[in-house]
Amino acid sequence: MSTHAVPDRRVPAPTTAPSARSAPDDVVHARPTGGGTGLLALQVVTEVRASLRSPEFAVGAVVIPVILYAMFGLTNAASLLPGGTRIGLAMLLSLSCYGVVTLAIVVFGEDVAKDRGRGWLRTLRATPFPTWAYLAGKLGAALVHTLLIALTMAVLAATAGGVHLAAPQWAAYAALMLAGVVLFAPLGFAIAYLARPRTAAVVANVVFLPLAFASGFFIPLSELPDVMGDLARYLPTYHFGQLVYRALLPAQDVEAFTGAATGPATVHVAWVVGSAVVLTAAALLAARREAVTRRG
Amino acid sequence: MTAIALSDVTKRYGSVHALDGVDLTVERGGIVALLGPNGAGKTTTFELLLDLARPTSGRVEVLGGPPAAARGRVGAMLQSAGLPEQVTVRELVRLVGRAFPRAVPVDDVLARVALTDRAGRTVTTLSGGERQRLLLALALVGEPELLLLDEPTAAMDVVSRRSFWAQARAAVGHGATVLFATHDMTEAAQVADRVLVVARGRLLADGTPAELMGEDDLEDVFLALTEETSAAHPEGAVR
Repeated sequence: MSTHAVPDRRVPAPTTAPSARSAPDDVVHARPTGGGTGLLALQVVTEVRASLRSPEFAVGAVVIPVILYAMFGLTNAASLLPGGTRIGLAMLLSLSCYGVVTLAIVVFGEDVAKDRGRGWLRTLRATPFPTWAYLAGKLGAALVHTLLIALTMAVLAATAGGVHLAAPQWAAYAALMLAGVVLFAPLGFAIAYLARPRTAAVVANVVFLPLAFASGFFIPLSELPDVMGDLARYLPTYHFGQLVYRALLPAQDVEAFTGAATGPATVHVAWVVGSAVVLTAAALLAARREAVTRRG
Repeated sequence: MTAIALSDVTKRYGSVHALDGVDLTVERGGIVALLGPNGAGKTTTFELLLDLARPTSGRVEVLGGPPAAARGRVGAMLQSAGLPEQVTVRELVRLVGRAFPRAVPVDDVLARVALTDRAGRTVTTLSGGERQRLLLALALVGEPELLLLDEPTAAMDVVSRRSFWAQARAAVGHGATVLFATHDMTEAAQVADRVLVVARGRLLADGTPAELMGEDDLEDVFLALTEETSAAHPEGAVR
């Protein structure tokens, strides 16, 4: 092969002159058209539409809790707990908790991990699209889906399960479900950033299924081995369930249904909120670690 | 006016020198090709310009300031760029466009990249070339002053490729600067106003295609330059 000398255009060898690092550049001045609120609203709408185009999402996140309620909640719906609560109501609460926590983990664990794995988050990082808007949009969409789950299950419980609650109680039920998805979203968020994208779905299930069982969402703790009952007291999902039951059932029926004595509400709140704070911190650290590693 | 300025930029990943003392200035306007073999440092250069990575040493400036400050004025197509699946083309362009301080109307962008008839389709139904055009739409929607395109036409057929470069040229006509990375010497010679040859993290040559080629084929020039570097620096590969 012939050689080609292009000395006139060749670049001189790099100098060894003292170098300066890039100037501080942590400020992004780009302001979204329509403002941050408009961007967030559009992100929520886009996320909701996208999720509704995924049949597996609708089945996994929305339909399964409804089917489980139809199968197990309606069977003995008319039976009464000692304090007079219909089993149909108690099952509505436990399976709603299951549905909401699943949703939080699916949306933030699997979905965010997928976006991370397929390079969408990297694409977004090359635009002025703020990460907070992406995550808040996911959360907003999860809230919409939570309302969908709660509404569907409430209608089923009221019509087929004979569950009657006053309007403020239905509102409390919906509010608790919405709070649940907000409080457990950090768990999914942490999984999304701590697990490898391809394994996030497995990790989410490995984390969630034991949580759901050990928290008594499916089977009363009194019917599980003692060790599960001991373990439950250290699980935020158990404490969330206790808060939901306590809000809508008499204490006597909470104990009868869950097989565990209720504690002070402040303890349950402290566990749920405290775990959300810790998981949020873990997730933010993981996200930051990834960004810093990426940046070098 | 300077679009890009790299001053003695070094980027190391462990013991690997991805960039090794690169000095480079790109004035505004025109299409500049960054030509190099695998591991030459092309992608690292883009990551630095987009603030996805930071230099180990040296200074990087984009549109007269630090890369992060220029983010709303830069459009980018990354080599490993991904897209969400169940979102339609129109939804995605509208969403990303909303993040920019000024955005081109969605219909205009879609027309420019010939995706108008795919506007209602979800990303999963697009061909490889259509996905690339969608990524170009996302890069163009913010009316960028600088377009950074990392191997943008890799999955495109000839027609899409021509259309793509017509759009890039149109963007230049509106005042934008385009820096694109490629392995394709023919494409670089045909499209670029200026060609930068990089290998092993170093800038080896810089000129117009005509200046670099003289009476030779650009491929021969490229091979001669990169083989010289390989002989001089046989150790280690770079990204």
